Amino acid sequence: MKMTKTNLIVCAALVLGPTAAFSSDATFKNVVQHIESHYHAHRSHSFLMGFAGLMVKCTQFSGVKDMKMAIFEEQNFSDTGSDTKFEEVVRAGLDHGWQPLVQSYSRRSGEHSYIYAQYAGKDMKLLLVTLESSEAVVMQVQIDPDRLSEFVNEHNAK
Amino acid sequence: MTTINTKKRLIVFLCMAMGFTLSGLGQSARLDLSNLQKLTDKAAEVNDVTLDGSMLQFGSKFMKDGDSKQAQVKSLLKDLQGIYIKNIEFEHDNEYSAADVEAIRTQLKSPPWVRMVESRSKHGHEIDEIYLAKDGDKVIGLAIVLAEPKELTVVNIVGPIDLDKVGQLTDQIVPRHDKDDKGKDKTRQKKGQKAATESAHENDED
Repeated sequence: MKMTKTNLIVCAALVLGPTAAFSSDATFKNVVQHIESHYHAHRSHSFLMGFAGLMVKCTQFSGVKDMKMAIFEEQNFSDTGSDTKFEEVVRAGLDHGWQPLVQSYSRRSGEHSYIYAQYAGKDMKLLLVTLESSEAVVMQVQIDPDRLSEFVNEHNAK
Repeated sequence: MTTINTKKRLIVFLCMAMGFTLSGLGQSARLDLSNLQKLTDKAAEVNDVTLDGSMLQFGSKFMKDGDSKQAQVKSLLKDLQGIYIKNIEFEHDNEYSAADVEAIRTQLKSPPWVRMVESRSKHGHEIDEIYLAKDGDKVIGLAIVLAEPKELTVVNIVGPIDLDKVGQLTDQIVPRHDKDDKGKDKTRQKKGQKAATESAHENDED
């Protein structure tokens, strides 16, 4: 009986752990997919960003453990006012455990900026989304706050 | 006998639970700003900042203890439970109603809130207010409501605030204003002296 309970807990942890991680990553994917499909935009420097992400994952330089980045440059995002779904897609991240830190929207310039955060154990995940008239950036980083603050303080001291 | 004990336990538990709840409610300086959400559809610009305690602690990790200003900011942030800012700008006047602001003011009318500053423009188009949430002598929260015809801003700081420290820090961070003001004062004085001399000359001529 005890074994069954333990097995159940282990199974739940195995299933729920990756699901939670997947759902927080899903917001990044969903936002990027929305920009690509709604505006027919293409990512710039996608190979470079992929390589940078891989390097970050391997070296974990300055406490940054994971990085995903999608940059859209020189694209036509002028019609963001009518794109009501964009905010919905970003806000759906709240259901995936993200907490909003900064949300800014200008109807005049059509500029959207969002910074969301989420704890991942002792690490912190940050999601940054900006959409302007001609460019967009979607970035997700996982950082170790202690190591990053050490790095920042070391470099501030110099 | 067992039933009496169980009942007693239940009553004690309920009292404790209610006590905690009421003390929590009484000391809460967090404002409910959810009614402003509906205004965002009409707004020309919306800026929404939500920094809870854990985020503030995260931010304060990057402040150095060696630097006096940063250390002071860090000590100010240490006990804060949250900073919440909502700024909504409209294209035209009066796109939000008095009821929208009243929903926030109603929360600020009851304890622990005390209004410290109220400023109304001549025609009543702009009302700026500062409230402090107090628990005895301690300040446990701050609220700023700035209602202009085209713009509505609400700032809510939750947690103990040492006003002396804030004052010291303000003096250190914004000394320029003093200098500018002194400069302006000198200019004003010169202008005043000049005007006085001119009017004296005019009087002499008369």
